[in-house]
Amino acid sequence: MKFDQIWIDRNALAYPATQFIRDKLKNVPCDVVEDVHALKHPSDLRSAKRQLVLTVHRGLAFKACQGMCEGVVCCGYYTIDVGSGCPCDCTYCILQHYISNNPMTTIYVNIEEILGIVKKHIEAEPSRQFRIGTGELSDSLAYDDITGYSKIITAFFAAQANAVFEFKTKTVTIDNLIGLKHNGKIVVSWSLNPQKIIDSEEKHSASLKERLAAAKKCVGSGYRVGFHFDPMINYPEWEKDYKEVVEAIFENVPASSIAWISLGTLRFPHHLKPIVEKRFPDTKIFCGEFIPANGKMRYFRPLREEMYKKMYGWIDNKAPYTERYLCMETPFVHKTVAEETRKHIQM
Amino acid sequence: MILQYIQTNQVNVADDSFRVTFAPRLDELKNSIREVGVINPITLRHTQEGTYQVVTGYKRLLACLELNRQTIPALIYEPHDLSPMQAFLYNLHDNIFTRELNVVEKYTICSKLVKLYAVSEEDVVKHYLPLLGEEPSYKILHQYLGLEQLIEAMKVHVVEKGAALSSAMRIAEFTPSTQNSLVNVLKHVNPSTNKLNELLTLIREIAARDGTSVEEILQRYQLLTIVADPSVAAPEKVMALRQTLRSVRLPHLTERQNQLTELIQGLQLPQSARLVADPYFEDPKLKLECQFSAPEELNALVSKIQEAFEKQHWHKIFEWYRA
Repeated sequence: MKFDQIWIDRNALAYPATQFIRDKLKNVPCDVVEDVHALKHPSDLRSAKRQLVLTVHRGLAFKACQGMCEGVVCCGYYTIDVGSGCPCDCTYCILQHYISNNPMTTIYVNIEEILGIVKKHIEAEPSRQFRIGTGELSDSLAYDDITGYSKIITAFFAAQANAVFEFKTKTVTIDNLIGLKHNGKIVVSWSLNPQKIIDSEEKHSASLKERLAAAKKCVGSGYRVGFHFDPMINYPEWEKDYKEVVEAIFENVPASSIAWISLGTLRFPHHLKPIVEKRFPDTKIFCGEFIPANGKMRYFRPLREEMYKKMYGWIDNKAPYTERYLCMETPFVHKTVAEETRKHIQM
Repeated sequence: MILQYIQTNQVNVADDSFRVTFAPRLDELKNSIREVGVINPITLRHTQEGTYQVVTGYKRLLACLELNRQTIPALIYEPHDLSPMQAFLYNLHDNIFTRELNVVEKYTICSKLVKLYAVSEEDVVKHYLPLLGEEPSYKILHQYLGLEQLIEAMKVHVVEKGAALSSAMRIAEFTPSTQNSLVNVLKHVNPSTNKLNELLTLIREIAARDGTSVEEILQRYQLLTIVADPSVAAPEKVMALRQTLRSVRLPHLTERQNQLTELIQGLQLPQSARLVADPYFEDPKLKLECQFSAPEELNALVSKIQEAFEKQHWHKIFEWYRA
């Protein structure tokens, strides 16, 4: 992504990451400000994303995944905020609503302090295995070419006994990762969808082929990789298209290198819909059969279950022991899908 | 400024530069004028071309014209005494403090302020929206400005039915020809704001999903036939309309809800017992509600429920519900 302007929080000046990023973006106009929160952001999201804010994270940078809300099964994931905003422009992206008050791309430059906080947390519970990622408020690797954070994060987690870190991305910005020592503590993951959905709903992201090629390259460098079918979109040809993606995974990556595959069907808070309809008037993602459930709009349960069961079936056909889970689903759906999968494996 | 009786035909009624009023109801006013005449003079602005523009009193003038009155008392301003913006503000204040403005009139005010009188959006939001009884919000201003896309027939419909801004805004998103078709359906019903918004959303989403026009949707599902039946009361028409559209928009859910209703009926539960399920089938728990006023009643009820249970029909419901 090309930036139009960099705003540096005066407090961020002393951090090495600030200078590192400045050096990478020498031609971008830059101003130091006393309070980045007082910056007036452009009204359209696309322009706002091209404004880069370098600041210091002072809040809760390490926390349980926002998905751990009442009524859905928690997968025990933790997130670290090292930035917010994403250069991809996915139709369904929750960030359009979630960070609408602060839509400028933000990078927290106090990465070492943030990792220090993480260290305290994971060392406080040595018997627990943590799964941690940065892909909640941003794409984990989208800005790695200007931050180089993947090198710092990989070095940090390679030395932790009880944590695995996941880079979750829709990009192919993996150059920094290749050749790093990671001790098997790093999983590089891609969100996947059929190319048809990538074309229509995941603007400015890498193609399916590119994502799988990047995954193959990471496997070549000894990493385990993950795949997230999230959000899965229900449309007339979904079965054929998603089955082909599952097959494409196993054509590119050996099952033994897959850390996990997660599934989650499209869900959204009702506030998101008018925002998306305004920004992407031609989208058809809301044409599915949605009902209100657990504070969000979700596909009607039998439709979700059908999608999950079929996906699990296709995965089982290729590699039945691949670790898989459902993301942010209700216990009811977990139970019915698990029962069906057990039946399948026993057969 | 002078006060004089002026010939009604000298006033340029078509010049709506300062007008806010839309779709006025004149019957009561005409009765009043018939009985006692025009009590308060209207306000006119004399133009350099020699015509008269209505500043305030559009309804009084219309009533007089419909009553074939030749003259009307008027306060007349010369152009240099009253700028167009002042004249518009006279009209605005003459209206906002004497009656409730409808959504089309509020749209007209916002639109004229921004487009005709070059008032900044910021000023309209901060100063004028509160005068109109609205929150000072850009979103609301833009919603009002969006009503520009409403066709005249739909504007009249919106005002007659007292539709809310949120509904008018949804309607304005449809093309003019679609609005024309919609007005023919909507004129037969008077749903609440929430129901109307739901109906409009359902229609729009079905059209988008099926890649067809709204007109086709209205025809395919015979929506006009549903609402035009004179023997059916308006609330039932709304219910039927909603049911039809929901069954098209949410076919799997509707089918399952119908199946559940059949299965529950098959239980032949006593009148005082009711089996309730989550209408969206998300909650795995079913609820049995019973009413009784004496221990004997409860006893009888329990044995009847037991009887129903023994038919094995219950198991079928549970299996089906979880499937």
